[in-house]
Amino acid sequence: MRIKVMKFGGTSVSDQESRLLAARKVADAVEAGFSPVVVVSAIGRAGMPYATDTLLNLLAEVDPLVAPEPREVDLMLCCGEIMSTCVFAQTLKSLGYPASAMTGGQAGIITDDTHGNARIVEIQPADVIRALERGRIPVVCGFQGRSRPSDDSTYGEITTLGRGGSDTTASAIAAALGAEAVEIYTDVDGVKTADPDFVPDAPTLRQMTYDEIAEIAHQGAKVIHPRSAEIAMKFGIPLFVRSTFSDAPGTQVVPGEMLGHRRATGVTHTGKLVYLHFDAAFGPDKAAIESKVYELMADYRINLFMLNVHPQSFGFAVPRKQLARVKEILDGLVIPLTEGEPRTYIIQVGRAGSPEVSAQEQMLRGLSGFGEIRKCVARLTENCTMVSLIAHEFLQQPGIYYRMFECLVNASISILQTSDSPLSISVLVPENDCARAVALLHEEFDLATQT
Amino acid sequence: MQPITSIETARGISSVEVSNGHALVVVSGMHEDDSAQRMLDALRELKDADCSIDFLKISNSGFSFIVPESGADAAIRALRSAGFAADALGGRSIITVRAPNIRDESGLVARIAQLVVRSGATIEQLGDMHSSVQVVVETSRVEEAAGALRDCIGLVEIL
Repeated sequence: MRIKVMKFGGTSVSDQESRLLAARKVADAVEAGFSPVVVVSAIGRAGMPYATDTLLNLLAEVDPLVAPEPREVDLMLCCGEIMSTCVFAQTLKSLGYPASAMTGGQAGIITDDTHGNARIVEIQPADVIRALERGRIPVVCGFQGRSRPSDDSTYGEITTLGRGGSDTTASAIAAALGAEAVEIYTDVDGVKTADPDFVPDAPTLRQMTYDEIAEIAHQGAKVIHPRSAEIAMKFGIPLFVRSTFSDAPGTQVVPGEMLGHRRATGVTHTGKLVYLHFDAAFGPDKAAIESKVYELMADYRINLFMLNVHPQSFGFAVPRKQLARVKEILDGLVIPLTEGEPRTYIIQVGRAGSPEVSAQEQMLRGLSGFGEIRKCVARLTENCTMVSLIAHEFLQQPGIYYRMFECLVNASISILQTSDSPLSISVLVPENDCARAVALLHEEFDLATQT
Repeated sequence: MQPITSIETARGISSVEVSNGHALVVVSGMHEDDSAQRMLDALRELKDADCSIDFLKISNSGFSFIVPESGADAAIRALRSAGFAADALGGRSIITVRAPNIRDESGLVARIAQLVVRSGATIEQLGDMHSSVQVVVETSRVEEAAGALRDCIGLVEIL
């Protein structure tokens, strides 16, 4: 059996016309001698009746003061994919191709018990194989699985895989079935070298490496999820990103050794970030303050970007949507240090002190045992975004940073901070300059000619 | 048919590797009003001297970066000959912490940073990619830092 896994995202299954185009891709695969396994996302994107966000809002609207439990959130979210699967299977049947809709659990996707961000621990694909052997096309719900039976649940719980979960489902099933390929169908004809909103003529990459596609997604591009690429890489499964709405060849994802030459691959941008710069006359206390701040950021699951450390200061960026949470956690935080002479730090987020900080300071000054009261101000730089150059064996060349800085500085774009890894160089720039920065770097690194 | 396991790498830290033999170069004495142009000039000097740099970080008074220890002298020579105040601090190590899907494991970068600082090491630079975090520390403290991270391999509870 020549198995191919074909995954269709929300826009590919959003209406009957799109579903028919997607179903014809599946039919073409059957006619070409493949035994396709289909994975689908929920129908449509935010705002549409059965989209994931719409379902989530149904729960939130019941009572904004009562947070839904993760177990029920997962159950609710799964409805979107279940509906989509049934409708897609019916669409295939209408074209004369027998199909069987399956939940993630029915397809044998077993996960850990982390609701909302479960990881796949095992696949028992017997029912998928049985359907294939009977000449039926399995249509599997993306984004979901089932946890193992436990003391709390005799049959296991429905779980969801988190962001990009349907891509992960596709690669995982392909790995379990020894598929010849995974095809991720979307509404663009492959992976572009930049966001077409910022670079209208950004070409589609014909080939890229697993690491590149995972990094391009990590740095903000909405292509496929890094988890999906990691599974495909681990099991050596050819991965393609294609359009449901065209016959363009799309992007083929290949092992690094197949693209041996150094090259820049693309320019990405993340969402909105806020940079926090912690400054104080720390002296030898810096490690203790730093450690406490990191501990709290970890405990409250704040995503840190561009962590940056200097002898007497440190800083990091956080997503703007997490800033209110960060302020709640840190503003007015009291860190007493008792080794040697007692002294106490109060964290103040932002230049202007809040009532919390004033109240803490006043209270501590009236108490004994806290020693000197010192303020650590976290200066905020709001309205930032991160622009990243993604590259394959390219960044270690002398002068790469110079080229990036030259093109941005000469265009009067402020570089607020930088960060790099073996696969990318990122710069933090004002949000207003994001589009210009992406376009300039795209031109500087000649990405219009990349394929 | 046997179930297929090990599809995904377990969340959290999956491995820790150490690479020694690096140097931290600190360029200082820049003023805020012309620091962008001065930094550009300094980067041009490094490019012309064929120096490949990593972990570039901007500070209030300049910037810093990491080079292989063997390349530190060339970088310092290039910068000083162009009038920049620059110093190299050898004995730096890079710890590579493999942790899959790091952006979706909210808080993991902060936890890694906390573990390193709590071990007694000073983080000098930190960078991340889709599957790992790289941390630069003094070689004299690298074993403590790497040990603290290795103790957490496979521990989901660190999040």
